[in-house]
Amino acid sequence: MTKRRDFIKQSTMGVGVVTNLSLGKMQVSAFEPALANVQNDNILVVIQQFGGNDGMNTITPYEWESYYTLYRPKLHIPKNVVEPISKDLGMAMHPNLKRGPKNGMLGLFNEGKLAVMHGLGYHNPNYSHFRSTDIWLSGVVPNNDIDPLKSGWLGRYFDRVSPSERTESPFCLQIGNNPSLMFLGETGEKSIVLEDVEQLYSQAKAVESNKINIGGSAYFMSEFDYVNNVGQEVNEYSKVIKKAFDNGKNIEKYENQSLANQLKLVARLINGGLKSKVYFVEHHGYDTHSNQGVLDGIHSRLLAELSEAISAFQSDIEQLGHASKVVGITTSEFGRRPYENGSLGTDHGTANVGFAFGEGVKGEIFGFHFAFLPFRDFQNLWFRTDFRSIYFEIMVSWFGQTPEYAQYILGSKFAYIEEKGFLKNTKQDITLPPPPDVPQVNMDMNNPDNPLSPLNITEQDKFTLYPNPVQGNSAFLNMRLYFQGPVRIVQTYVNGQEMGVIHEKTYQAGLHNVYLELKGGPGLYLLRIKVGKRNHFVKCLKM
Amino acid sequence: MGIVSRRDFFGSLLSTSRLDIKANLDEYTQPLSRPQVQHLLRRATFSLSNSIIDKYVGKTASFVVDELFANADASINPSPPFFHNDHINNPANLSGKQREEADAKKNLLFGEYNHALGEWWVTLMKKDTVSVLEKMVLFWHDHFATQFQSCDNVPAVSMYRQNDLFRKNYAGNLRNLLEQVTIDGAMLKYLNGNLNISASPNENYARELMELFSLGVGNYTEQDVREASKILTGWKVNYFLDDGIPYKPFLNPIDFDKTTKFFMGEVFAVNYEVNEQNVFKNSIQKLIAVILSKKGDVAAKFISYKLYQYFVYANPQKADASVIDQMAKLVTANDFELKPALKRLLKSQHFFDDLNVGVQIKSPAETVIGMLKHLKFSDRLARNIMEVTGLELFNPPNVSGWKGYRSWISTKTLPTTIYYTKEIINNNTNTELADWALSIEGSGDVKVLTERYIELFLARPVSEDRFRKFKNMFLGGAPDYEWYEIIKNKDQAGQRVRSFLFEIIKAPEYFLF
Repeated sequence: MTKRRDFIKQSTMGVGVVTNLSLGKMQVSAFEPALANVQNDNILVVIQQFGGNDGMNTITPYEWESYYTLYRPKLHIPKNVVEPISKDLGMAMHPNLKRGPKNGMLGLFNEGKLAVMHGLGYHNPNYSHFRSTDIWLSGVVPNNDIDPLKSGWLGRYFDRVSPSERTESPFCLQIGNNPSLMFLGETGEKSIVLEDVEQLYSQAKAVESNKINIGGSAYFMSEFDYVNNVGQEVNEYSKVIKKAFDNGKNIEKYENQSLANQLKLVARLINGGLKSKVYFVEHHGYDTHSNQGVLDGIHSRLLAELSEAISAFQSDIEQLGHASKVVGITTSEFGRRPYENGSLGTDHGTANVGFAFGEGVKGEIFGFHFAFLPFRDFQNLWFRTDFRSIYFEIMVSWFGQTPEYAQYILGSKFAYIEEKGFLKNTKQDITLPPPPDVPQVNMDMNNPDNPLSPLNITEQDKFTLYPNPVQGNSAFLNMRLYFQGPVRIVQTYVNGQEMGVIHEKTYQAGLHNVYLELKGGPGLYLLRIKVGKRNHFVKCLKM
Repeated sequence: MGIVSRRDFFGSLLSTSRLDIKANLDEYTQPLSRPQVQHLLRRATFSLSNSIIDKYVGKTASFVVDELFANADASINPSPPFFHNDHINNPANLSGKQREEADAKKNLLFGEYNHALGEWWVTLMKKDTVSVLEKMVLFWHDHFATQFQSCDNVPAVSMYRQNDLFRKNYAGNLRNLLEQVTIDGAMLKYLNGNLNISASPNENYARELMELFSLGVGNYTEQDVREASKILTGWKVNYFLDDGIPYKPFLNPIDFDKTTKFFMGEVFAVNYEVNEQNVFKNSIQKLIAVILSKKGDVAAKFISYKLYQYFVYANPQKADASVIDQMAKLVTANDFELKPALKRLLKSQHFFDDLNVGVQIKSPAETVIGMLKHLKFSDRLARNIMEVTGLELFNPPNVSGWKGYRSWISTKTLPTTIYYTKEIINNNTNTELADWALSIEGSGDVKVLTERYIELFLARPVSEDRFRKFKNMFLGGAPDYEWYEIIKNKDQAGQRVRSFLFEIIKAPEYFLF
């Protein structure tokens, strides 16, 4: 039987399958890549919420009137049922985050074991599920939409683990069906994917476990080796996993539901002595474009499942005696827009709230509610903390690596969230870069720095008429509205005398092209555009 | 065949210039050898049989490829699934026993019949051994990925009609496909087209139309998505008799956005009577026309790249880019008719280059159907096996389809696939397996038999050592000439065939084609 270190050495040398780490601004040293420090015992559990979790209804800005009247008139979580977690910051939990042992995630927060991290995102957010998911999984923010993202941050992390260190357990264990990009390193997959331990064990016995030396053309050999390696890994790992499974147990009761069952298995394997460092579980269904539901329905069901699973897992880990070495995080490819859409749902957004749980996390709220971040393009919010800060901190403070090693994996260093970090043992590091440069916001409605202040918003509205001069009677008005509102356009003579209303409609914030039919013969006119309470004027010359 | 050391091979790669590889679409004109026929049939169909290989050895690629397409053209109207005309009234408008019955039927139509549809398609795939048809239908199903299963299922009749659209346009015009898919009943439901109304546009389909179906990531702007969604408003599909003609998409003029839109520099003014015909012509057809004219090269490249990945190698290298470029040029030169580019690709020297032989990783379709053809097994169970090994027909994982390439083979799917392939084999008695072996021409000679089986299942010829090992599964230690005696006893022969099959499905290249 081949030892793990042997088949790492023999793993495909990249014949015909070269992956390239240089992306955008990332500099990757071609010589002497850093090796990782010896791995400690700390374990990371990653819960991926597929589809883009609606953070605004998960942690609601419950004291903010605009949430109820403007952004979520139909989809807001009612004020009288949410569970406040900070009066000062005006934040509350969706009631379903109480579900589960010891009051669910709310209970964890009250015990100081849940970190609520607001405004996670990145520059130039991508609204495509697949691209944004890949960005979160790879830990790389590319310069454009086309550069392929071929490896994951944890894959790269384990690429550099010293050969003498490798254990018989897979580095990472993924419960599910499809290998995640997160664990794909330059030298191959760093995780084992399974759904059921017993099944894997019995089926793995029939797989070819010998290395076969083959001749043939380059691509064929590369693919052949890939399949051969998968067989060898399955064979070896299935035995190790089964052993841990048989040794381990659960104490806490879990709901009989997919996410809970996955975490139950993770707890059992940790208890049984499996030496995997990262466990990955999946929660599907967050892409709520329509009929998202409020207290019933898709989103609230998902939150109930999330809370039940996380709290049962944490309770189990504590009772089993492993709480000091297990930390979990949630990840999701993006949040959803503050404005609800016309199908009782929400569309892809940007900044989002993320959670971390475990005895090793600071049970605090990080940042103010991301709802109060300024809009970056009239529909979507700026972010506040780069999501890679979370990864960086995990590698340094939880996995015990040097900041330089973490820098190598991610391409640069990142500030800790709110410059203090979410993990208890995170130390101050003055060599880290400052937090992202994002517009500041002032919460005072009368302050011009508050993007929602009526004093501020419509000053920034812009109107451009084209073509101008206008040939004939028709033209387009390009409108950039920072804030939704009723738009009324009246054409007047230069002396102010009104000729009539030529357009009237309510618009959402954003860019709009409005087709206008102008009155009168050739000459100079004014268009008086009223948006909400403010007036704007555009001169227009008809030929 | 000899074994080349890895070092030599790697070395030879570095020293040889990539110009040696046939990086163009020049036709391969030599008569096809046996391995080359296998290669072509492996790529163009889901399963091989020795007799069909026999038929084509010595013919030219042009001949075989033309036949593969001619046979496809002749098969685009298979019998529809049994439920294709099932209509019901809306259970919500009924009561009592009638409502119960309608509810039960509705659950079938939106649920289980989608599985029955998968079974229906498996049957077609199994029967399709000399045409490129079902391979192409699966390509489109992956490209225009639509799932029946979500919070709100798509009914099987709609999924069937979409499948039928792909079959009738298997190698047709991309423009036509894009137009028809945009108002396809299943797609309207899946990507919320039927919720896209003037009062509140829903961007889901508009985005995927450009990102996934025609241009690719980065080749359109957010403004394009917003304007396109407005252009696409108003289309609906109903499912019950009381709401209109079930499953047939239609335009609801009230929900159609009548303002003027500005998409990719073109004005979409609504200066015509708002009815279905006019809107289809001036919104949908015009939208696709603008996309394909403003970004025609991008679109041609995009689809050519995917077709290349599907038929040649899922991981194209830089040297292959010029082949893809030439395909793209053919696509634009033929105004988005795809057949010329496809035929040219499959007849080309590049396609038959040894570098591209045996390099594709089998999806559950190739694995399962490849075995299914020869053995007795339920098509419904075959559909189920494909599901648990990663390819559930009519239910791709998400709107970008199946990831494909190496994701077909993971630490999860490899053992599962072997396990279920054994189930298929074990569904056959020794006698049945013996009959299969005996039906193969030349089976009296165990060497020939071994070769014939290997060519059915393995991507390339094997080394002498491994050949001997496989041959020995039939002989059980006996010398070659004793095979003549062994096959007289069907029970014994069948048992040997079983052992052989169990061994061959372990070979890593069993999963390549």
